[in-house]
Amino acid sequence: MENNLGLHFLDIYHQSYCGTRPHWQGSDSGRSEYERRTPCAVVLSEAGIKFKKSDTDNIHDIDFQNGVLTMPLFGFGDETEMELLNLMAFEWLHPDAGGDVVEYIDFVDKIIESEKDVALLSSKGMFVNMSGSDKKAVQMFNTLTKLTGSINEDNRLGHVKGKVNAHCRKRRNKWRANFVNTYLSNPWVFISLVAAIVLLVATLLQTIYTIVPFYTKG
Amino acid sequence: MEKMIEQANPSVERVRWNQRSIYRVPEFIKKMTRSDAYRPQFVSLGPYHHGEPHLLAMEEHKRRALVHLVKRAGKPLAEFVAAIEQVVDELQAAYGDLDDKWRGTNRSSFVEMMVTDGCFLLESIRMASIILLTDEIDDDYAANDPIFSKRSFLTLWLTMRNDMIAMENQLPLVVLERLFAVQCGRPPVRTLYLVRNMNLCSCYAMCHSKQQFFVPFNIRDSWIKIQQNSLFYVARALLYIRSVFSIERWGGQLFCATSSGVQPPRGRHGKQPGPPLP
Repeated sequence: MENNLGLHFLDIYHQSYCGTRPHWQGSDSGRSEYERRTPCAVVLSEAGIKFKKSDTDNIHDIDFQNGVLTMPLFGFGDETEMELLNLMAFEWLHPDAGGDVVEYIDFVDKIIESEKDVALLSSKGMFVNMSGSDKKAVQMFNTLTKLTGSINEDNRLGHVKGKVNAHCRKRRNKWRANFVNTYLSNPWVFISLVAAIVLLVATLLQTIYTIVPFYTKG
Repeated sequence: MEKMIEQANPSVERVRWNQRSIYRVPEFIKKMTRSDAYRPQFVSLGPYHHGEPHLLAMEEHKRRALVHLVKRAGKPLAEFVAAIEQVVDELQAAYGDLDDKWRGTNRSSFVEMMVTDGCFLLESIRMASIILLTDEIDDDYAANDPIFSKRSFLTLWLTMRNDMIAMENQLPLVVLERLFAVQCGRPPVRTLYLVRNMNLCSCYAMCHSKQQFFVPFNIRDSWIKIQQNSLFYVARALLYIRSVFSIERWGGQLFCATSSGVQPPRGRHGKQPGPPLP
């Protein structure tokens, strides 16, 4: 009970960072669904996964449904690394603190592998960089993950990873995403696609009309 | 060794680990990550980095804070010291790997450090709540005070805040509760620290500029609970402290002052806009 009241400032900060943990009973269909990692944001987006900022600020508010991955906004500033290192060190040293931050950072780290991923997430409004360079953010995650150790995947985020990977494995999703990326990326490409189809159909019709009289005359 | 085997008892060990909440970060973790991330850069709190050369400059100001606090409270210093002495065992047990120089006959120097650091934190929080949350001018400190004047404090606050969440620079909240109780002349209570989110003005903003009590506000979970005018202070603090991004991060639950009074924010994320403030 005492713990809930806070031990020191870092503990209070930790409690506030983690927010309330949603109830999670485990998935219905066994262990196989939990996975260790997901591809990075760019690869996910090529597989047709859309990104959406979650409504709340809660680090537990991560979900994957109908091809949309929702995640809370990640703010990156000059002191972010120091804050997260202390939160994660506290979880490491104080077993009662749980492992919410470690699990969250581990998840985000898988999504953010390179500066391209940071740029992609920024364009979706899910990442705000106040410190300037995206490279620094990527480096930060490389440092932070040294503190994640071997985390337990038998939890909600492990399940979300499983769902994301299952989506990526379906070839149909990849093709559809490829089509959308190539032909629907801007109106001009789409117009030229429509024009090409119209021309193709018109040429086909012309050919038919040329061929048909040739036989009916005879 | 034989004796240790005889005495080994899980329930005794559990009690011991249960009391412990402040740790030195092991050397290998520091090497893997960043060795200076867990230690104070500006002001030392607690025993681990006490007296390090780069932190000595603040010692004078910590003592000055204590003097101001004790003088304002109008209670003898001995009362503050006695309040900490009552819990000194608990405090020492909270620190893992506490240096021997604080134990035994040197307990009094440990108590002295706890009183000084605790008073400094209380003063800092008080200043944070006055300076960041209200427009009042505190006449307890000179207008050109290097730490506690408005201008200096605003410059230093982010650094202090970072030091306040460093793992090796923690002070058990019990210290603050005891000292605060003496200051207010009340029995100590375990207060529910609803004031969360250190990104804000403070994790633990006690708004006791005039009324001496903790104002529990927790803007993250529910801001309806927040007393109406203190919310405005919170908003002001946000504006001071961080860029616009932070405000966005909290769902834009901010009030902006206009000529026609204080306007509630546009509701974002489907949240209800709040009632207008007086």
